[in-house]
Amino acid sequence: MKVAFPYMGNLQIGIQSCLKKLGVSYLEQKPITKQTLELGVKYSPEFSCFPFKVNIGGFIEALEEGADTLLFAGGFGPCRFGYYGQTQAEILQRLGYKFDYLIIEMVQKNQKDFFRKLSSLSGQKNLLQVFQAVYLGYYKIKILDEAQKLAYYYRPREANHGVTDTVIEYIKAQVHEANNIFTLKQLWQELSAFFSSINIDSRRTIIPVALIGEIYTLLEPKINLNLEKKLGKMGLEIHKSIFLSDWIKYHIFLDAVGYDYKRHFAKESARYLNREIGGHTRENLGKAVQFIKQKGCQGIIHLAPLTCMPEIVTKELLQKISADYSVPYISLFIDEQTGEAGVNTRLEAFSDLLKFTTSIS
Amino acid sequence: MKLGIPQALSYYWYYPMWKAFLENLGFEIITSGPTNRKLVNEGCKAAVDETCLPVKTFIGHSLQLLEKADALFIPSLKSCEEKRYFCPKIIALPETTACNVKIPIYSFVINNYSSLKNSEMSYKEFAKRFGISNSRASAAFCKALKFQSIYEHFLREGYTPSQALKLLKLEEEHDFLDDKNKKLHYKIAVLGSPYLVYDSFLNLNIKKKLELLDAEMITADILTEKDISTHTSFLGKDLFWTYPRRLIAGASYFIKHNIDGIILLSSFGCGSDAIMEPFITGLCENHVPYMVLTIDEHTGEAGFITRLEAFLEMIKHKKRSYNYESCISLHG
Repeated sequence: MKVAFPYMGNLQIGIQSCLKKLGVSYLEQKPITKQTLELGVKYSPEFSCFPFKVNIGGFIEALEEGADTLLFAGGFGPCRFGYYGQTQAEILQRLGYKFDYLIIEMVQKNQKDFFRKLSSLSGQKNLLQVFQAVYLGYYKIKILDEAQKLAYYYRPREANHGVTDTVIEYIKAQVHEANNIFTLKQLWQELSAFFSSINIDSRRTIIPVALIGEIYTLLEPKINLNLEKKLGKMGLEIHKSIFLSDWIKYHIFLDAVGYDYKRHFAKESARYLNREIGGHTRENLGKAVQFIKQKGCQGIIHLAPLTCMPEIVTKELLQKISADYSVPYISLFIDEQTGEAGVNTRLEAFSDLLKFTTSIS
Repeated sequence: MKLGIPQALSYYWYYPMWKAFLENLGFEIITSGPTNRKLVNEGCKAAVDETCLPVKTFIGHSLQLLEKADALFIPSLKSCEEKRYFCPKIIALPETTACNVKIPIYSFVINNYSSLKNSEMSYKEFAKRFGISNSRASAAFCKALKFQSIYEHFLREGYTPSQALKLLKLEEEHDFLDDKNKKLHYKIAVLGSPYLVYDSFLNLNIKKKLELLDAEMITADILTEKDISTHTSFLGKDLFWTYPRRLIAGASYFIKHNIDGIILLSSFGCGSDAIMEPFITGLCENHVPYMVLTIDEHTGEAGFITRLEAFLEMIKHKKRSYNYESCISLHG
């Protein structure tokens, strides 16, 4: 058995270590390339969202390389993601691939399903061992997210460009190699020490911005064209709405004990949208307001794949937030046609606008 | 007080119910009339670029009512049956419309996801906001439900919403029944959301065009709930949207019931259609001629006609050659 799973930012590192701990053999997946996208675009429905296409491409590549079990998540709407697993299976089966498909339904209070499926994958491991493996994976992602948060602070301030990226790469390699919680805990304690060695240019004006949007485009740098690095170089300090570790913490661990994570943003988003419509719309709107109020963000950058249904609503309602707080926003919808130069120009124009408005105020 | 109901999206599902309910509460109801070019253009200008044509059209319709109505009635359709949703853009319609149309919007959430009784409560609570007693609201709701069930019955009989509304005397009398008796040779199933399939401006009057090509249009609305559940049982997991589920059931039902061709009518960028498209393709492959027509605000009529003609030609050719073959004389 060889397991393949979706490629999404640091999720890769988390799942790999989890499967390794469980003794399940997995495929060392290659990062997303142009060929992945081409395969995905060719075999996906035209208006499925970009993450779907990337994932189909990735799965085809994985199946070609000998994977025989695919791991995916599901749900029950209204966002399309809930049915992606089934639609992907239909497409891949029609292409003639034979594989086992393990879809973990990500719904409230369904952690048993999650742990059972992982346990069945590993053969004879009991639920406690599975939990430990999942926790290890989660811990790795958590550290990488913390490092990312520090990088958001240091990247616009670094005296020599690119130093922060080197630190991040180093930490990533360390985390990847670690195979028990103790090493990781130690690493976490040293985290800020790594970053504090970076020389800071204190004369720069730093503008805080809110980065919100759809989870896949936010988390996968290959898809969002390394947006975070770009923004950092422009002197913008990012406050991001979604981190993978938070998602796992709230949806897998804390949901089991009945914790409602929506309380974090329900109050702020209520003025704009007072109910769930699927996806991350409510979270994004609430967090955007929070970042403006608490972190003093002076701009909003909204990122989503083309045809993403919830994020279209977010874009429409962002106009209201933008007007209420007089904070400018830019909305980038990404698909296979998106050119890097165009994105760069738009971001540069946006950061110039922000710098101009701060300089006159 | 005049309440405006935009003649798009949810109109095609719930207009009879809403009209009956609100009129019994003492409101005057006006609609925005059929879709036209000017209105679509205005909607496209106001709405965000990335959204789909039906939503842009909805905004266009709402803008038409700006001066005629005192307020708009746009409930948020979250779920109309148990365990199924509508698309996120439809759920958030009241909010997105409010961004673009500066007029009071009366709204409440229709959410039957956990129980069919939920929406009754929401309707009554809505009436309460205007100081209407519970018993009067209940009576209005019962009447509205009656209208709605007759309307749905007409749809299952194969009438279009506008014909059904006329039969319900909710619109002016018109003699349309003549063209229902016309005998047409081919049966084409047009699968799509009602706001596309029945909006004769957006779909460039596909019904009429098919009739000119000697084909009758059938929609998935003729399916009963029982048909739908039996014909979607092949899906590994229950589909959690009302409409895409109905369309997959439609494809599966029609290929077994003597259909000449299936057209999937979809709007550009429609998220839910994209998810069910592979299933419909899979069902039709090797069974029935199948075509996807995608509509957006730039769709040209000439290209549309050409594709329909080519599709019908193919079907006619297929039928003809089949007949020839069965007539070949035995001695060669």
